Amino acid sequence: MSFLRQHLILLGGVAVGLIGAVLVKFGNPANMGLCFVCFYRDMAGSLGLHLNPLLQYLRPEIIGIFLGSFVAAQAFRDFSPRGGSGPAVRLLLGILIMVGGLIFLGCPIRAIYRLAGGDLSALGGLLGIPFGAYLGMVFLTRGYNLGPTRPLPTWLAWLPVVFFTVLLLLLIVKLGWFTDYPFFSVKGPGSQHAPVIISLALGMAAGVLFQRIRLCLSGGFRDVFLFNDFHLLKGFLGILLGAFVGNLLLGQFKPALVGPVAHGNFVGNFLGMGLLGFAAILLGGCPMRQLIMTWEANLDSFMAILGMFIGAGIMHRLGLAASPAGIPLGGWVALALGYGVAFTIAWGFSQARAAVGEGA
Amino acid sequence: MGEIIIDCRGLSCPLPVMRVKEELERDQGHFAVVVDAAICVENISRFLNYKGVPFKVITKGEETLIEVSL
Repeated sequence: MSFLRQHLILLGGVAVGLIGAVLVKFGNPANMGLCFVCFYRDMAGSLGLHLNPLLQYLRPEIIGIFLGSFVAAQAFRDFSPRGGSGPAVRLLLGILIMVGGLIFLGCPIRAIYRLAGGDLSALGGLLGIPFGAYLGMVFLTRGYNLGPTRPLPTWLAWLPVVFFTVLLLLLIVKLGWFTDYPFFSVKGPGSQHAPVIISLALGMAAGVLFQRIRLCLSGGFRDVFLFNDFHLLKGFLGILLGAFVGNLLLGQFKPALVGPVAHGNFVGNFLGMGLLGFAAILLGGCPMRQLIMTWEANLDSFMAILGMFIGAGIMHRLGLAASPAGIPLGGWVALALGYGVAFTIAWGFSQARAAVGEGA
Repeated sequence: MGEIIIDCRGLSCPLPVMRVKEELERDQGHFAVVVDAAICVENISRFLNYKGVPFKVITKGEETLIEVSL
């Protein structure tokens, strides 16, 4: 393995960190240059899956990441339709990711951005990721497996493409004709965003990077626990470095105990991100990685993405999600239930270890 | 000397690497792994490099065979 290849992940991470800082400069909410949990939530709101007027926007970054990683996957021939590895369970795990993510208020990438922006409350979440990864690893070593995926007919591979093309068309219709639907916030975090073209372009750049360097943040800790392999964690470090330097240069580094669009409940942040990490390991990848695999035509990851949209709908429709004001009582209940469901899935699918085909 | 082939086609991360690790710990000498995703090839290669185990990568269409000989 060449020097460049070994450090590609670090450099890619730095680039992702810088992209995040620049997107905030252009108008995205503070420390939210890229956040998969927050962006799926805003998109779910925009589609009407929840009606929180502050959190509705069809984030063009996500559509841009789609275009970028889709093009990269096509160009590098990582595009082969597969699925059938517990799609229903993956939908459920997608919902759990959002339960945890919306208690912490962010995905692992935003946890890093928050720290890089000076928000010390992110530490609770960052410590929660290895905790969740450790829980997942315990079950992985006990034989947890959702079963192998199978090749699917080619036309099915276009299903996610159609889904995101519809989102892009909705965005165009909204911008061109000022329609009521899809819903866009006029105040709150949903109304704060970079110009559409910049979001799309930087999203595309990030998509190519994510696809090529195979960054996976929950996977980073998992590999450390399982194999003592720090390769993926270097991506983490890169994002932190890139975002920190970017924030310093752009005057966005503001040290605080609790930063913007965040709350300071340490236990909630720790357990929220722990649940997200746990569910992500059970899925085989973090919220960002699920998106990239969707665009490599993994229909199971698409199910996880749909689960995250549904999860965002549930959390905000029922008022369970945390906010800068803190975590509502219902949020704690959702978190406890989430852990219950995650442990049940992990335990259940560890019972029958799939036969390993030998001499095939 | 019957060669063992581990079929890891379609398994999600990180199961293919875990299978390789188990097989290495069993110390059987020769074995091969079949995978069907580029990321699995990368993960397994990285793991084997880290362990200092010699291996060969043979790609046939969508599938890749990784041969390990201790």
